[in-house]
Amino acid sequence: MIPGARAVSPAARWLLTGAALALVALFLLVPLTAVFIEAFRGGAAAWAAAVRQPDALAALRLTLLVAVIVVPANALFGLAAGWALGKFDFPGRSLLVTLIDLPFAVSPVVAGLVLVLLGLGPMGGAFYAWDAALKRGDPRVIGSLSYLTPLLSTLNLVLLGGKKLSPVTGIAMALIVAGALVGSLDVIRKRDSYPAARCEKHQ
Amino acid sequence: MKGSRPLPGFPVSLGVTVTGVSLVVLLPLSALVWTATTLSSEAFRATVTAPRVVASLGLSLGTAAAGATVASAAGLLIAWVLVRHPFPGRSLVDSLIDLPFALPTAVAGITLTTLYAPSGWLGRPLAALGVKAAFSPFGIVLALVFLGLPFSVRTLQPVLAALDPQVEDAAASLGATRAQAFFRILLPELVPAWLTGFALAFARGLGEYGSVVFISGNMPMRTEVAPLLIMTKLEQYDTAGAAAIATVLLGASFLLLLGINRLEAWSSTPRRSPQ
Repeated sequence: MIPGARAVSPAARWLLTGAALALVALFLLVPLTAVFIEAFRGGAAAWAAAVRQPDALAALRLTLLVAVIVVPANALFGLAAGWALGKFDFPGRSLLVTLIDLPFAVSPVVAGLVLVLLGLGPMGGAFYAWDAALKRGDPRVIGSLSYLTPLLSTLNLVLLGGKKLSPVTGIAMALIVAGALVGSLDVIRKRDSYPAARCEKHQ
Repeated sequence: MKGSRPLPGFPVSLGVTVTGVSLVVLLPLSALVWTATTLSSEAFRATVTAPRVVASLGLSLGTAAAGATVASAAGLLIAWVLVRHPFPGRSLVDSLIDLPFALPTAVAGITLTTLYAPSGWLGRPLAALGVKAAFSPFGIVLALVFLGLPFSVRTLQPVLAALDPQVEDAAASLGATRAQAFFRILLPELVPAWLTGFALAFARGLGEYGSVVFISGNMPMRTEVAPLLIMTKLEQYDTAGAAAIATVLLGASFLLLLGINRLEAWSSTPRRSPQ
């Protein structure tokens, strides 16, 4: 190591840390504090009573149920997309990534049903899983996987929304099957011609 | 990598991905465009060029871009400090980053409005400075920065952590200054992740409804965002009109996201497919 190559003067270091902490405090800590102050404004007893209301309990139960459905689906589709997008380069990759990003931009438009998802249960679970994944998993795969979160929650909303089948749906179904077939064409045609798996050299 | 494909699983994973994307993204979106096409082209044009609609689309795009920009800048600083400068309580701050993901957006919106209203903790000092935070476009940007921050931090953090500090030593040994090492060695490595974070924050901000409706004040022509206008149309049972606005918003975000993702792919090409 070259002496001083990465050395930062203490002043600069504390300035950076201070600025970052100020941003975190301003944008995250203050709103969080405000939420808790508001929640316990009437005292702990009022909070407990509000949480125990049948409506609140039913809402929490529904939220948890949705989370239980969404999370395994997320894991399955996310793993596939993470693998395809993170490990391979192919024509149309940017297009695919863009389509996966799109639900962020349209989710409230697609369904006011998004309100169903408002709730701390699945959010808390997702929060925990995300934290654990970033600490233990391969960040690049997880980065790609995270793209799918909005996508799959939208899928669940569509399913729960009970939309009727229409000609458009039929066309889209056909497109889906075609897409899956195109994607699997290689494995169907040349199952044996893969070179033996070897360690991929990153970077 | 492209030709020989040393790793297995490409056809299967791509097939599943394309299937998923078709089912969840293309299917609802084609239904959206389909609904918009029930309008005649004149009616479509009249709907999307109405001054109130144009103003709301401009406001949505502008505030989403501003919010994502601020979140990206702040995110780089926060990610840098979290990875490179350990301090007491670092893990606590690290967990706090995910808060906007964990907080329901309506709760976030009400809280931010309370904070930035002229009588709020943060709104009062801002009002004293003559800045109107809540019920102005600035307030919308503040809400979108709050929402966008975790995207930026969480995409940058793993890349920063994976960077080998020895490349900085090498740069220094070849005579690079600290600033040169940062701008010419570190920054190019960070750009793809940075752009991804920006794109996610931008897209999230463009469609954001729950947290924005409370803080914006929803004044037509001034602080009415496009998603709100879509909701208004839906409540008036003007499904086709809502779909028309949504289609324009969708087209704009699609093009912007595609551009950003192309840029991201281009800036990381040397790493992804070594020749």
